[in-house]
Amino acid sequence: MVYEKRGMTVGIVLLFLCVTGLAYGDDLDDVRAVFNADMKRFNTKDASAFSTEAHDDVVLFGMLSPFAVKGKVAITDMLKGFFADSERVTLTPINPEFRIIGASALAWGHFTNTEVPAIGPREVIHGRYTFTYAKRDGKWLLVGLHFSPLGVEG
Amino acid sequence: MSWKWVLVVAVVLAFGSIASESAAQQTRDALIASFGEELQAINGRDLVDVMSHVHEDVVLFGLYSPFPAVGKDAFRQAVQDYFDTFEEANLNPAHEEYMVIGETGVAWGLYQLTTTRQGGMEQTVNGQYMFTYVRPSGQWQIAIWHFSPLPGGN
Repeated sequence: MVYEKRGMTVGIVLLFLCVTGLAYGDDLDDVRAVFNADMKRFNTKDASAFSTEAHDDVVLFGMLSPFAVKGKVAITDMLKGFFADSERVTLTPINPEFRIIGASALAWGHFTNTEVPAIGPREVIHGRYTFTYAKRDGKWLLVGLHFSPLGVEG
Repeated sequence: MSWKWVLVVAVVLAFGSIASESAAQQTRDALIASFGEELQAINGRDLVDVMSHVHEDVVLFGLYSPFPAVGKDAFRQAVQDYFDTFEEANLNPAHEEYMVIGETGVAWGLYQLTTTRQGGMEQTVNGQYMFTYVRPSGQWQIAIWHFSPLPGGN
């Protein structure tokens, strides 16, 4: 009887660990999917990058201004201006990492951004990024992103 | 339904709304307080106090290495190196802003960092910061610290 109870307890604990582990894995996959979709949008010069699956108040520190860009509309407008002056842009994340902490998610790594402007020589920027996501109503939304350049070529 | 019941429901809803707003304000105030305490600990060179606000899975993109410090031990070492390198260091934020979305907090703004190396000259750098906070057990903890110097900000 005692062994049966112990066995049942161990079984419940294992099931719990399994379920939470799967949920964690699903969350990681979901956050990766949001991140990859934003990269794809950016690289096809789609100004809805970083605002489609974002909180209304998302905030961006980027390479184009010393000031923060606040809100989805402001980010879309900024990207429209940037893409209008560019013939081609390619943002490549390097060693992207992701972490889930409860209802928050972090993404970080290095990046290379290659821009072929409409006028002027090609510019390559290497740098670091951090993205923050919050889970709201079952969806992961981008709430903050920060790009910091380390060096410029070109 | 009599007018008395309508009044009771209205009063209950109003109190619920006020209580909810008050709780949100308290959560935001706690985030601002946590930011202030961490800054005081950094400027007061109190490593124990600095670490008391840090999550196990913290990610640091600092000013003295292009690579991230990931996890509490790496973060502790980076802060210890900072204390060892500079005889005096003062980090001053400007235009501080805060946002709380569920269990995720974001603090961002500009900073001025004035440092004096051991036996060296004073140097001032300006830049942007964005910090991410998580609240896994009711207390705000730092999950990302990301500093980026502004070009020509020396």
